[in-house]
Amino acid sequence: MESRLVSLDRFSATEVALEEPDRYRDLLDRPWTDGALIARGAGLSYVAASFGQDVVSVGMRHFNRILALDTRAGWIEVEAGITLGELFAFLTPRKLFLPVQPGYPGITVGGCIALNVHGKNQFRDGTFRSQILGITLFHPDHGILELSEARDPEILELTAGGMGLTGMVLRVRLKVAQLRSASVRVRHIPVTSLAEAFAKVAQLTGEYDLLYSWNDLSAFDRNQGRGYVTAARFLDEAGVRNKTGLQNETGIREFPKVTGRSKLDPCQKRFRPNLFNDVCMRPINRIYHALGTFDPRERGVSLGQFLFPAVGREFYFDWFGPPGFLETQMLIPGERIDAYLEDFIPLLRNHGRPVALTTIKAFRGERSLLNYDGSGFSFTLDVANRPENLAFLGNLDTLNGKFGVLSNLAKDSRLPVGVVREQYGAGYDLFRKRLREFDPKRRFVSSLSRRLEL
Amino acid sequence: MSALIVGASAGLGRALAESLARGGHDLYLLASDDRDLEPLAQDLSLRYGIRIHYEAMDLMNTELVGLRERVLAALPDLDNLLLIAGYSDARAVGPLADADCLRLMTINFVAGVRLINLFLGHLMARQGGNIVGAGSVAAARGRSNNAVYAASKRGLEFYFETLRHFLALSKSPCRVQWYRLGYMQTRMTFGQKLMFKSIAPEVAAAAITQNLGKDIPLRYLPRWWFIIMTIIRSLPWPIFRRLDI
Ligand SMILES: Cc1cc2nc3c(=O)[nH]c(=O)nc-3n(C[C@H](O)[C@H](O)[C@H](O)COP(=O)(O)OP(=O)(O)OC[C@H]3O[C@@H](n4cnc5c(N)ncnc54)[C@H](O)[C@@H]3O)c2cc1C
Ligand SMILES: NC(=O)c1ccc[n+]([C@@H]2O[C@H](COP(=O)([O-])OP(=O)(O)OC[C@H]3O[C@@H](n4cnc5c(N)ncnc54)[C@H](OP(=O)(O)O)[C@@H]3O)[C@@H](O)[C@H]2O)c1
Repeated sequence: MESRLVSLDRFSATEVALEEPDRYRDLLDRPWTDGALIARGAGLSYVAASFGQDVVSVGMRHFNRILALDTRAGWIEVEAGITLGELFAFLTPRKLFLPVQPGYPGITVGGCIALNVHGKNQFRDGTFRSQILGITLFHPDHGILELSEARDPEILELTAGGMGLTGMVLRVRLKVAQLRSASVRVRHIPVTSLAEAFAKVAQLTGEYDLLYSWNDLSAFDRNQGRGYVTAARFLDEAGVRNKTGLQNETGIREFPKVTGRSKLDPCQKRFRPNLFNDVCMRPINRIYHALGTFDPRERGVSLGQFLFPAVGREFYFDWFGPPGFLETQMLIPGERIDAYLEDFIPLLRNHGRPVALTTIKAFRGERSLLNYDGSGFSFTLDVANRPENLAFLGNLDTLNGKFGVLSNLAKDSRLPVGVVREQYGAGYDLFRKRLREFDPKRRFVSSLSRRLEL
Repeated sequence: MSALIVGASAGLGRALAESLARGGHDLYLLASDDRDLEPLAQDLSLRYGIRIHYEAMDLMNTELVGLRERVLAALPDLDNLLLIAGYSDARAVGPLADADCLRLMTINFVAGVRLINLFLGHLMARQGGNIVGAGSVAAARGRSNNAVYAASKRGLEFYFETLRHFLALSKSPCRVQWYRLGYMQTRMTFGQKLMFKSIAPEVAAAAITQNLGKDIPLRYLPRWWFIIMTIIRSLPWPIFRRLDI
């Protein structure tokens, strides 16, 4: 079917052929031509990772079944088209959960594997790949491959974080953790500057299970960078009853209905008011800050609401208007934060345009291939898609080069290949080499992989 | 409560399997490929804790030997037969090749009649038994497009009409429900430009599940198709003959 596919940031759009097989015969027995292919999950990536010019996008959403669960050994096996929300709804009543998950229930497990996503606790539990025990991969030239640490670990490593370029993930076995309760106790801890936010996040990693900050970089007054750190802890069942005042014991029933897709779908044509303009962005952020810091007391929130904060706030993405926005996400080495901020703040002040959203997350992990992983702090900025902001992000790339920063390839639609080569260095070359060894014909291609010259 | 779903692996059949499983029905799933049936069975049994069986069988097969025994051995209290499998070829305009004709007639008509006959004796005796058929709005008025498909669906619709009469005369508690389905978002319509709004198969499945136990000789699903088809059916021939619909 001819479809116009659009990235979440609306920076990239392409007319492509979209296929949506709903039975294995149509996926596995089909004589896929020699043309380029790419798997597609929910299509909620910020970048054009699941489509490209003259590439057939293969929608995997019908392959979304739960295949096996071993509560004792702590794993679940699912088809890769299942959404995090479906999985959450299944696991939570069984007092289990996926420790690492990104912030929207409509996202598929396949998408999480391919972009090796993170959640709010990677400083403890790592990124998505850390919970993968095995993958069943389909590639038209190789057939079905079973990948695990014991079997073809190199292809497994290439696939987790491989941007869908090794083939279509059919099934995956994931670690699940025991859930102490389906509610968390949350605090918003105010901070007065960006530097304080970084320091607070660093300080709180030992005390809390889930952590991220929100900062206001829309104003250029002395309050620039103020905001709050959202810190959450799991409770035991008794804690839920006694301290949080939730109506029910687990909070499971409070989980918002998992439909999400249409509300966020960037391909859907709908009215998108341009509210994040230079004039409105400041008062909007001011109100958001006031709401976030209004009540500093600890409160109980259902885990679903906490893990998926964008539910009910999908309008955020629309408020950039038809041109959309750009997100840049940078992993800054912990020891270089102070020096980084010394250069970053003047750069931003010089630029003089508001940032719509700023968040900080703590990371602890290892760098490998093209994964957004390592130790330090993830620093995210969303800006409106305008020429001045593109120039600012270009200057930021230069600054990042100076401090050994890693940019998230899955978030930034304009990131030039030169910057990526420089930042990822040997990881980039090794990924490219291994991918070519595995798939000399390079069957799986997307706009993203073309931009990155993979 | 239990059901045999013929054509359970995808589209409406899969949505029905989910909706019946959610309601606590034990299931026997039938379609032609067990690569689809196995994961579906695993999923439904894990999520809803029901007893579930599946069998890969091509309805083009002339042999139905042993099917009745296998189904009733697995579900001795079988009380619902849902004939959902269908096959349509959008390119099917004008005289078709014999093999294509046979395929359309077998899947959409012959298999339905044979499967009903196979299980009728058992279902007639069941209190709360149901035989459900998936027809199509395409069968509401003969037109040049999709002719063999529409004719086969109309044939099965007619068989359901006779069945209802037979069950009434036999004073059987078993009920029939026949649906003339409108467009659904399944592979059958994927990528096609449709004249009217399509619905998710889950919506149709919820309605069919809710209607189990009722006597429904013919119902459009969604019901607004009744208005459209009544207009189309009442168009005088001099106008209708000019329409390429
Ligand atoms: C509201 C919101 C919040 C988010 N929060 C976070 C966050 O906290 N942390 C974070 O890291 N990310 C976050 N993201 C980004 C998101 O996690 C990723 O972009 C994810 O990949 C989207 O998954 P998808 O199902 O939409 O995949 P798509 O966008 O459809 O595809 C993404 C990639 O996955 C590949 N892919 C999909 N399915 C398969 C498959 N079965 N086999 C092989 N490859 C496949 C595609 O080829 C493509 O390369 C967020 C996104 C949104 C919209
Ligand atoms: N979709 C629509 O818009 C629409 C409109 C009007 C009426 N209908 C009718 O509604 C019913 C369901 O439609 P749908 O769109 O859900 O269809 P679908 O997605 O094509 O699914 C059809 C089901 O029937 C099974 N089937 C087909 N041929 C078979 C064979 N030879 N042997 C065994 N199983 C077979 C398929 O399984 P396998 O592929 O594994 O064999 C599948 O499970 C059909 O009767 C259709 O005619 C549909």
